[in-house]
Amino acid sequence: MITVYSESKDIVLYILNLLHITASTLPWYVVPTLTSIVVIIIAFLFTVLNTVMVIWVERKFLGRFMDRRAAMHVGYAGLLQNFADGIKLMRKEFIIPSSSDKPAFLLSPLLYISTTLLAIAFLPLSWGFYLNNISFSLILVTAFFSLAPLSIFIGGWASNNKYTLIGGMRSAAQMIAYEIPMILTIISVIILAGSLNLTQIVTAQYKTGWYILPLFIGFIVFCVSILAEVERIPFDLPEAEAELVEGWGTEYGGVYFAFLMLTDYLRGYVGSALAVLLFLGGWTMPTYFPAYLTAFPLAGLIWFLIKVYIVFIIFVWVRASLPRVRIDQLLSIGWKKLLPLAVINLLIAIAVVSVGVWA
Amino acid sequence: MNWIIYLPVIFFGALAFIFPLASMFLNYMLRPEIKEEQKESTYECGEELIGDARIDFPFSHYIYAIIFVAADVMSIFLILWALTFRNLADKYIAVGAILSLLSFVLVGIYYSLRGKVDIGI
Amino acid sequence: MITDLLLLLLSFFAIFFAVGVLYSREVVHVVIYIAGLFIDLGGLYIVLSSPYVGAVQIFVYGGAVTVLLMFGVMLTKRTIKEKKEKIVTQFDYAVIVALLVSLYVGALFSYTNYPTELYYIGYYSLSNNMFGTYIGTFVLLGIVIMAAVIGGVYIVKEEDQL
Repeated sequence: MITVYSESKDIVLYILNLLHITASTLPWYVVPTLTSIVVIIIAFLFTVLNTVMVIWVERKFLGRFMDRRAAMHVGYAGLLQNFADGIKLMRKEFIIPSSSDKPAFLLSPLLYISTTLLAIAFLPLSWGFYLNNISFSLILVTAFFSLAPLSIFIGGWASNNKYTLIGGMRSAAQMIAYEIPMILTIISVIILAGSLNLTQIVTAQYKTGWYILPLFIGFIVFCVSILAEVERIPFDLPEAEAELVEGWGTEYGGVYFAFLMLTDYLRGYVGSALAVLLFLGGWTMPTYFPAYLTAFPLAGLIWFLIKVYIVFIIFVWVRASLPRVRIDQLLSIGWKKLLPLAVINLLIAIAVVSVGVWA
Repeated sequence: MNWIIYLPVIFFGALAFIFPLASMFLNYMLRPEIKEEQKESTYECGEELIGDARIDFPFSHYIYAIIFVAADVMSIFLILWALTFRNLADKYIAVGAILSLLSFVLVGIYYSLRGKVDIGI
Repeated sequence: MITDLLLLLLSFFAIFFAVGVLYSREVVHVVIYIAGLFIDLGGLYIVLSSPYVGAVQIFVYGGAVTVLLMFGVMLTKRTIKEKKEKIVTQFDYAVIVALLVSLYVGALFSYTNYPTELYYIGYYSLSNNMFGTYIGTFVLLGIVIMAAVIGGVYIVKEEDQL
């Protein structure tokens, strides 16, 4: 089992020992600060590498669903394709339209990527592999995840383009329509688990079984809401290519386009990770699994990654199969069909806890 | 506040602001810069621009924002209830209160969305 | 010491955003500054040992009320580049009044006895009060929210839809 915080502390003390400095002579804030810096560098690199791997998984699987081979040439089996794309985008010219609103134009994708990265800071990945163990991390993840409509609106307005304005408004309306079923489903998980701390929710699932079994409707509602929040097909209209070129991000080029793509897949990764942590038992497997599958070092991390990639492959499968939904159909699905299902799910959770089965 | 547990979050927040700025600086060093008149105008699929970017915002979108605020306020009370309702002294009164809150807000939302969902744009 | 430093930094940004609301020339910039102020206040609540209230502030105000304000701004008829006129016309009188008010409020604050330690407000004390003592208020809150939604329908209605 890896515990990032205490192992980073060992690394920092080892380096200090090499330099013949004992930790007690330094001021009291030095060792926690250096430990935090090592921890966040490991977590940040892990997240960015994971996101790039997620983009690779999407491209290969989408290619196979469409009966073609995607990303063959750069690196072995196309693993370095996305790094090549990133380097290409770094060298592209970045045009600011002359009649746009420059401060808001420059601010909006920065806000978009910063709030998503802050939401990632609260996700635990294994038994000791977390940045912090705050007792209300789930609601902070949801809060930072829901700051996106603001930045999309600002970005769509600041480009001074009729079509980006329409795209921004549609994106904001779609995102706020699908946050209510998401938060109601999260509430039903909190009823069963009794805590807002993500590590304790996983521990509760380890003791009493995965929450997908009583809350199966909730899992479906949550996955559909994540698909709409991340703006994947079939909820793709605000950034559909035949309709609005790229929606709110039409005028952004160069590194800002790289930010938009990266943040879309970062949000997809956060959504899949939340679905795994809340419904599929996180990094634990049921107790009747044999010990050689679940007791080697880094076991929790590997099982977590396997589950996240399986959930994401289901999302890619949905993308390859379904057509795109119109904007009024989209809003009517969100408010009129998913909201009653989420309320039914909530009543099922209350009934299950009152009977006493999953306490 | 036990601030030491927030220390990685504060540093990660600083990194979340520095990483985009560092990427922008890298782009600034690496990109070409050729100014042309036509590049700087906004993109309208190759047509000439007619008028300013001012559209008629459909008035019926406003109801979605109002229902969203109402449902958000409902859900924060629901979160607080969901955390603690097992250990309260009188569980059933709490369950009754929260079901009444849920039903009031949902009846309001149903009434407001009863007509067709009208998108003008 | 770190708490004081964080409080100072957050208060400085709160004043910066609030002044930006008054002095900006463009309506949409006002909404951006207000959104920054809401998130800043959420951070202040977290530092002052009410973490649940802080997270709720970011979630409700930063997520929902800002979108409502943005939709409201979009409903007005204005072009993108329409600037406001000069706002501040009586600067000298404003400075004198502001100094007097700040002296008065500072004297008031220095005469009150605030507790010097922050104690953590947990969920159980909040919920015991909410479902114990104030349960009538809580049910009335549901009715008030329903009234707000129905009032919203009345604003937005077409001719035949009520």
